[in-house]
Amino acid sequence: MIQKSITAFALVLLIISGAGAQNMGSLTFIENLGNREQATLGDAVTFYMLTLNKPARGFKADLSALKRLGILDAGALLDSGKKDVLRKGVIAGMIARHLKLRDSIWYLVTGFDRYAYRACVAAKILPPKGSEWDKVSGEELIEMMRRVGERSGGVQ
Amino acid sequence: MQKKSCNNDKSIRCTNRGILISLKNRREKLVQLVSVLYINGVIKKKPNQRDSVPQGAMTMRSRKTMILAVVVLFLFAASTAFAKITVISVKGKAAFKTGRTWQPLRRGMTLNQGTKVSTGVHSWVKLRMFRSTVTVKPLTMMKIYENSSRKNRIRTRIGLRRGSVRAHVTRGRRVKTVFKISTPVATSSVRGTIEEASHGPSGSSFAAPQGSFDVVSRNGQRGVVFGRLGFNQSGSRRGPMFNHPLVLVNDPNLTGSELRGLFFTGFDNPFGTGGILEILNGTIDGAQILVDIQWPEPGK
Repeated sequence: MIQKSITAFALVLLIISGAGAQNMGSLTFIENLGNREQATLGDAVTFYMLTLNKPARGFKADLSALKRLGILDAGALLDSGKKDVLRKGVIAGMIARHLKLRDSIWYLVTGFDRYAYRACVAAKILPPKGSEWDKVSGEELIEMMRRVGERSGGVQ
Repeated sequence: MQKKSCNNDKSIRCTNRGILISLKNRREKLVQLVSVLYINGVIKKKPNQRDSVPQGAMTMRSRKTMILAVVVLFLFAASTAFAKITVISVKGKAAFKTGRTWQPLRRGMTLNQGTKVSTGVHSWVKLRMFRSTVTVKPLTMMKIYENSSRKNRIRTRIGLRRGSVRAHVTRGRRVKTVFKISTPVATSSVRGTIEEASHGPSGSSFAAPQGSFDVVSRNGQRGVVFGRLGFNQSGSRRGPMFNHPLVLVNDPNLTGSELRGLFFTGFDNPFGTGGILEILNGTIDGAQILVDIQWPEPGK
């Protein structure tokens, strides 16, 4: 009886600690990302899954999930790897599709990241200086996703 | 002094025997002279404090020193009380850090000075610091540098590394409230109002939905934020601070370059003494104000 109680208590502790670890996992990911000078495509995909409150299940699976949600074009990033350098044009395209920015119609028609980038600049999600070919740092990616969260109705 | 024999002695001492002997003689003579003078009272010994102070006085002085030290320590300890920060609410995922590791943040917890707070995606934290509240918005990292109170003064300092916070500062009638929010490029001093501060790679931004506050950038730019005014400080420390008012009322004699310069040097508080509204109130008696709005040409 005592052994059963101890085992049950230990199981409860394990579950709680596991839940706590999951809770800290996303925060740890964000903190580590903030310390990096260069964000990768995998970071952007994972971060977007967190923003959409979807569980991150790996780069390929997340990529497919974002394509199903319409945030990524079906034929986009076919040959890309999770460690590829993230550029502003790519993340701008994801943001423009997600938020359905008005100016993104050109992006929907042409598929050019340039128009998605301009739409994000107009929406004050991206800074005006720069181009769609600029690399994205960890802090910049966090700031972009913060503004995406504010714009997508994440207001208390 | 007996002269030493230097026969067959070629040491330096003997080669300079004359000089050495003469110097030694002088020194000895000097010593003898001083001794004679001292004995006869011509030269008096410099009083030694240890010798002159009796035993009872030393004990008295040491007691006074101890009492003074205790009083000073007591005053120092009692002068500044460091208040704990209470977590009013937590929505989503948030964590705090006092040492090396991050720990989950929960409602009802109390935090100390020096604590870092971090929020995740779609997560908010509300903190109470004395009578003020700070709302930490999503994807924010901040640090509580100070939250202390003295006799008639409350001092709170927050450092914002990234993200956004909203501070609702309540001033006491008899207590001076100092509430500062610092970013890597600027510091704002809230006067008792609602302030929103944010910081990111592109710089810092301050806004005053209610009340007003001062802002000082790292390059020395100063300004007052109130009403619909907002201040943006670019990420570079050398960048200027930009003011974004809806309407500006300026002296018509100002040149274009002077007007542009005002953007960098700040504006007078229109509600303050000597401000433009006071001037207008004193001069308006059927006066007319002409507003010239110049819209940019299309394509520019």
